[in-house]
Amino acid sequence: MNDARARAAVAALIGVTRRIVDPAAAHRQELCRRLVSSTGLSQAGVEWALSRCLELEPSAAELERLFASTVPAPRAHVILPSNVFVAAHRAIALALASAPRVFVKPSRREPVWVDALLGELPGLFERVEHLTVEAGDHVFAYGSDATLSALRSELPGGAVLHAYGAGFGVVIVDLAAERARGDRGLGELAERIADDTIAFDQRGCLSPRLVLAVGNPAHALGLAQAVAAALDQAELRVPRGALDATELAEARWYQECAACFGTVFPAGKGYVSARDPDVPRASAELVLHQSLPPTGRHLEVLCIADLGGALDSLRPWLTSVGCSGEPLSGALQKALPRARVVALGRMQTPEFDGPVDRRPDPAGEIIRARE
Amino acid sequence: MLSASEALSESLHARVREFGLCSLSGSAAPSESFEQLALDIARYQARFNPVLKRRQPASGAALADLRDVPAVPADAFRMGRVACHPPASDCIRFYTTGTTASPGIHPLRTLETYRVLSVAWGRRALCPDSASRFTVVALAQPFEPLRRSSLGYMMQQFMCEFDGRALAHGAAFDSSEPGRWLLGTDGVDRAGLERAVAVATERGEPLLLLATSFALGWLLESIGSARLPLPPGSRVMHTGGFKGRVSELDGPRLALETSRALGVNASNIIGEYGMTELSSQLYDGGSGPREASLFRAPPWLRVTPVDPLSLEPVQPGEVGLAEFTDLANVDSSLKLLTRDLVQSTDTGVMLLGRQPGSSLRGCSLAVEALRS
Repeated sequence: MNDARARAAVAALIGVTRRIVDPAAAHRQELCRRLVSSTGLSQAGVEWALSRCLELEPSAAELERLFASTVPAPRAHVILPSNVFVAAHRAIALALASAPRVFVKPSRREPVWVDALLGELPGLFERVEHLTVEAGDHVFAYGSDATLSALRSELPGGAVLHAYGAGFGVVIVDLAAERARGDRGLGELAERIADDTIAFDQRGCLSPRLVLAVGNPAHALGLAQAVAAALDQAELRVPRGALDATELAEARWYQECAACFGTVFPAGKGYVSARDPDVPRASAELVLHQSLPPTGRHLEVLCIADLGGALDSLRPWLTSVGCSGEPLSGALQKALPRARVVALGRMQTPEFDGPVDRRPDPAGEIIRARE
Repeated sequence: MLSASEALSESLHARVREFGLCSLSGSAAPSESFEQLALDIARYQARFNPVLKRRQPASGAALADLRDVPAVPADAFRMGRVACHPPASDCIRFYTTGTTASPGIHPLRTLETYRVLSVAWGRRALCPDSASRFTVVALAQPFEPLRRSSLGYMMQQFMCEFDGRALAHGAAFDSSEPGRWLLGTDGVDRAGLERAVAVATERGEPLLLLATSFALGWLLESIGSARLPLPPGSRVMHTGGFKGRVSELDGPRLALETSRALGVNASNIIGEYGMTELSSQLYDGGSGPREASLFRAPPWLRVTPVDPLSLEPVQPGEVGLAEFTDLANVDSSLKLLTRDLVQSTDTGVMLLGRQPGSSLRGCSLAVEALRS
C-alpha cells in the first residue's frame, strides 16, 4: 500500500465530509432537503444522522486500525446501499485506503451523498453507473443477499469481493442488574435503546431489532414499556420518516402477530412488543424466525432463558450488540468476535477502525474463474 | 369423561358438521345460521383459547357481533400455540411446509369434522357425479402421521372415500399400498402412474390424480413432448402453487400442459386452495387457462378481503388480504388472517397471489428474506 497516498486520500474524504455537513456550509440546507427526499427520513432524522452517525473525528489509533484492515489493490469499486447514506463515508474511506483508483456506484435511490462529496472535491473518486471490474480489483458491495449473490456471479475471475449483506443488531439487557439501579436507571437505559433504534428509522444493519432480556419475564414487560415510552419521546425530537405502503402493512402484520402472545405498546409511530409472562418463552433456536419485527422503529423484547442458544440462532445476521454493561459486555465480546459489542447508545457510532460489519473475511473472497 | 371445554367443543363440532352437510345437501335447511354458529364458536374460543382470550376487548363485554371477533394472523401459528385445548389433548398436529426453520403448527383435538367436511366438499368439487367411482392416486409423498401434513391427510381420505379398493388384485384396501403415492425423494414415479392408469382402464373408470403443483410440474417435465393419457373422464386436482420455487410451468401454462400431456379436459383440471391453519378448502371451477383463478368456498367458510392497514373489509370489488371465517376451525381460531390477496366476485373469490413484502431499503435484514 502506498501509505502516504492512502492517508492523504482518507484525510481528504474526512475533510470534505466535514465541510459539506458544517452547519454553516452554504449548501447544507439544500443537501438536507435532498436527503429527506431521497431517503424518506424526516428532516430531523437526516440531521440526527449527520450530527450523530458520521465519523468526522476519528482518533489516530482508529485510523491505524482502519488502514491495517485493508488489503492493497490496484483499483477498488464501491456499490453503495440506499437509505443509510452515511454508510458511504466509511465504505469510500476503506476503498480509498485500499486503492489509488476508486469507482463508486451510488444507489439509484440515494445518489445525493456521493454527488455532494464530488461537488465539493471533484476527483476524490470516480462516480460510475456501471462497474467495469478486472481481475485483481477489489469490490466493496453493500446490499441484500440476493443482490450480492447476483454480483458474485457477474464478477470476473480473480476479482476480490468484500460482500456486506443484510444484518441487524440486538440489545442485550441483564434485567436483574438494571433493576438494581432503580427506575431512573431503567429510564436512562430505555433512552439509550431508543437512540440506537431511531437512527435511519431502523433500516441500518447496526440498528437493533430485538431486545434480549435476561431475567424475569415480568421485568422484561416493564422494560418493554419503558422503551416504548422512550421511543414516544424520541418521536417528538426526531419524527419517523415516511414508510411506504408495504412497510406499513408489514408493521400492522407484526402488531397483530405480537398481540397474540403478548402486549404491544405504541411507541411513537412504531411499536414495542413483549410476550406476556404466562406465555412460554420463545425457543432459543427459533428466536429469529418467531420474533423479528420489521424495520420502522419496532422492537420485540424477548425474555431469554438461554442467551447462548439465542445468540447462536442470530449469529449469521448479527452485526452489532448493544449491551447494558459489565460483566455481560466482556463475555459477549468473547462469544461474538465478529459482532461489534458496544455500550447502549453507541450502536450507531462504532469506531472508525475498519468495516462496520465484521462478519465477512477482511481479506475478501476471490472470485473463481468460470469455466 | 370429557371436561367442560371438551364437551362444549364436541357439541360445536357436531353442530358444524350438521350445518355443513345440510348446507351441501340442499334437502334440508341447517337448523341455525352461519352467524349464530360462528358467534358461539368465537365465544368458546374467547373463553378457552389463550390467544383469543388475550385479544378480547378490555371491557369484557360478550361477543355479540361477528365483526368484533379478532382474526389470528397465519404467522401466529409459527410463533406459539393457537388452541383451546392443552397439548395432551391433541389428536394430531398439522405442520406447515416451507423453508423457514420455524414451521406453523395447527393442533387438532379431533379430526372428525375435518374429515367429514373436506370429503364432502372435495366430492362436490372433484366428483360432482357422486355415483361414479375413481381410481385415486397422489403425486405426493405418502401421508404419515409423523409427516403431519394436512394436505396428505386429506388426500388419504379421498383415496379411502372415492376409491376404497386396493390397486393390486385380491388385496385389501390400504391407502399406503405401493403405487398409491407417486412422489419419492428421487422424483415422480411415472411408471407408477402408468400402472394406475392401467388399473383404472381395466376397471372401466376415470382416474383422480391428486397433486401438488410442483410435483405436477415434475411429472410434465418427465413426460416431455410425449403423452400419458389418463382414462376418459379423469380429473386432476392440483394445489399449493410453487412456494417461491422457480419453474417455467406456473399458472395457466400448467393447466394447458397438463391437458395436453395427460389428455384431460381443461374443465377437469381443478385447483385446490388450502392452508394448514384452515380446516376447510376452496376449489376453482376447473376452467382451464386463466390469469387468476376463481375459487369457491364451502358454505361453512367465508372469505373477506380486508385492508392491510385497517383490517376492515374493503369496498366490493377491491383487492384485500384474505380473512377467512372457518367454522371448522372449532378448536383453534375461527378467523384467520393471511397474506394472500383476494378479490370477491359474485361467483367466488379471485386469488391474486401473495402480498409482496417490502423491498430492502437500507441494509437491515428484511423480514421477507426470512420467509422466503
